[in-house]
Amino acid sequence: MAFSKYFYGVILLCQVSFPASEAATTCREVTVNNTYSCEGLGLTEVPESLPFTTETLDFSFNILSALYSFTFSSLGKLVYLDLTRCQINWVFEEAFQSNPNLQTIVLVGNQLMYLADTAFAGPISLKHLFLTQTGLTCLMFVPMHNLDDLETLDIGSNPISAMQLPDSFPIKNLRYLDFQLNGIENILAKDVEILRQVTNLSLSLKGNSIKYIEPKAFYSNNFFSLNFAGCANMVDISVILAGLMGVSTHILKLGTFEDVHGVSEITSNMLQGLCNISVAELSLENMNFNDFSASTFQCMTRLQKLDLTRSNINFFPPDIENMSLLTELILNQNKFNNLCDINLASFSFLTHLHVNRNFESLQMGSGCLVKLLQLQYLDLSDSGIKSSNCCSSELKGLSNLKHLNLSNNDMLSLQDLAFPENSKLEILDFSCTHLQTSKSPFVNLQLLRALNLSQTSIDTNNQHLLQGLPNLTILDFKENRFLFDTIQNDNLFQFVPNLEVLILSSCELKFIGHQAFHMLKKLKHVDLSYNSLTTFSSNAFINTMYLNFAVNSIQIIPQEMVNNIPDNSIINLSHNPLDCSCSNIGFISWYKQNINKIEDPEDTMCGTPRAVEGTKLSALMISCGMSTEVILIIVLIVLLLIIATIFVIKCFLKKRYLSI
Amino acid sequence: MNIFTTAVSAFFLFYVLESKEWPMHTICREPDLEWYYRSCDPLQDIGVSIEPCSKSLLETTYVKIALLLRRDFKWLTAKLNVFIQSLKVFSYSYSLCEPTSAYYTFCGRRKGELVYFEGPVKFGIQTIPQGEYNVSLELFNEDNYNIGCANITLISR
Repeated sequence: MAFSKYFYGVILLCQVSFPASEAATTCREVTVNNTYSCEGLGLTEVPESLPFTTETLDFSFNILSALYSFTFSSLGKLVYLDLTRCQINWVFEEAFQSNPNLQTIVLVGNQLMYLADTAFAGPISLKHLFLTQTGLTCLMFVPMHNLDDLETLDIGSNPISAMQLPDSFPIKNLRYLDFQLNGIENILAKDVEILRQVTNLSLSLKGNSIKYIEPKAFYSNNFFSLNFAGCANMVDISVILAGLMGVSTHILKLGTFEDVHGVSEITSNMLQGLCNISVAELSLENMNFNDFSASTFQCMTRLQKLDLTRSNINFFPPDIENMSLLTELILNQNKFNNLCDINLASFSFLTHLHVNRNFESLQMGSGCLVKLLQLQYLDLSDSGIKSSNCCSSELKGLSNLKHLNLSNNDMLSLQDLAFPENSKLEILDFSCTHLQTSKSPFVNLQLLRALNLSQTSIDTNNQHLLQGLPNLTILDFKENRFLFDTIQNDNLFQFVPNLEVLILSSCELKFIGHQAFHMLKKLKHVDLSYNSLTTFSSNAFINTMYLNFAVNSIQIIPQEMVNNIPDNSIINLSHNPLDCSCSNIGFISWYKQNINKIEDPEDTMCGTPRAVEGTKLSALMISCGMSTEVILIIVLIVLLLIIATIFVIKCFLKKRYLSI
Repeated sequence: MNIFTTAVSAFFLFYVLESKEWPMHTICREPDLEWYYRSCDPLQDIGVSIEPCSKSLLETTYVKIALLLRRDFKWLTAKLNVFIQSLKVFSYSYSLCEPTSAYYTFCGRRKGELVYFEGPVKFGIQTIPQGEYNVSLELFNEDNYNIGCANITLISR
């Protein structure tokens, strides 16, 4: 029923015509003589204008109805051909016979009614075939002739009801086999027997409502990835696991989806089958655990990574054992009240821990992470965290922590020396979390490279805020306020002499002291956009390669300021009310000669005088003072006068002498 | 189900040749509530059905959306803006799909595929206060490409 509705939708969409547009009907050249896009041009044949050398052709959203041996005969060098939604119903014999180099054919969204036995004959080594949403009801419909080198076969979102892989199925180089969202209900061992000869395959059966898999159907298979997410909605997950008995896979996905109806309950008993499968990374997203206990983890002792996103978990039992191989634990979107409820002592070998978007306001507790000596990455973002005296007890024991994300939380009050045991921190993100700080919270973070303090309402008057960060190279200060909307010459940036990237956009800044950044000799990228600056000052940024002054209130720029700008730097002055009168002629002349240094010249326009408001600076015609023509005429007149005077004097003298 | 099918078919079968704007669709029309929408995607129309047609959105509402993809997506973000007389009164952004975490089966779809969602959605609104609301709903992928776009008008009496 669901599929009939689904395909009804597909068929209806095929009939949609788009509003008439006056868009060009010539294909767009992406790279000369090689890559062309004819997407959505309503073409009914391949244009003759495409060169024979074309290797990549996007011909999606056109109207072809049938592919014949001559359809692409003019494009002998084709490697990649995208025929997405071209209303193709018929693919006749040797449709690609003139394209020996063809490696990829995309037929997504065409209602295929006939594929000739030799439809894919021609290409020497066809590697990727996409047949998603093509209405295929049976795999036998796809001719296996000349598919021997196939690496990718995507037949997702079709109404295929059986995964009966024929003996001729191309397995030699197969890497990705995608059967997602079909109508496969039963999988028998003989149907998939041929896959035993393939190693490192990624197989997706996501979203098939499986009722039965023959136990050991995939026995002794070596997969890279197996996706059975959303498959256990009619039966419980133990049926799937029984079918996978004896399998070895790096990744196994067994969760479900919000839009898959049916069973999402899971018990420890159902997971017993995991003991018979060799798996390194397991995902159980969106499942509900009925009896979440130590026995849930009984068959997970060989796991390296476990994803329990959105699993309605609010505590971890304290007696989980033998998880010494687990290095990454993902617990996003759960319901923990306190980090200590995770009982992380059982997971002391973790290097990565994710607890973001927790549905309850998360308390960081005290010493909850103390056993995680190996932890390098901790994500506690967007979890409603409030802490009035952060973070020495909260992050106790994390001596190897390199990356800490506390962004999008409620409020953190950072004490002096807030991270006494985390001196290996390299990246620290507090963006969108209200911060109150003592004098020098980061004083011991010698290795810190990146600090995000955007939208934190941090006290920018505290001149010692950044003390102790000698290696800081990236500082994001976006959307914070400074006293009097001014960065004084004497400011908090003096403690970060190695800063290379500084973001001060949307800080409502009106003025920056000329010496404000004189300590920052290595500054390469400065973003001062979306402020209220009226002066452009380049003195402060001697070696800066990128300067963004977009969306400010700059009118006049003295020429000596732009003369200092190094040759290979880029500046953005767009959306400023630049003065285009003769009082700014020095800058305007420089601008026209240095247009290669300008970012976004399309939006760099005159603000005054009114007559030229909105004119692009690059297109401005302006003349100030006397023009060369006027000067030439004056010089000529003067010369003529001199000659005339000499002539008159000569005549006068001649007369005098004659009269003597 | 039949009402939905009819509604979706009705506009999909529309042939619009000369206009630059997609036609206005009626989601529902009751004495106290009217819903309309128009696709703001220059390339294609979009199908939306909502049931029941009630001012109270506290209980589960059944939503149906059909959308053809012009681009692949791994990330999918929905951005919702509500305006009363051109004044923005509410803004909301929500991540529907991420490369590492798939909440819906349609996450990770490719260009040319049809995204078809049919299911219960909880809005959690007691009752829609009287007034005329303009709602802009946009879906973006990881490259900030506009995957889907609808302008919705909601009149509550």
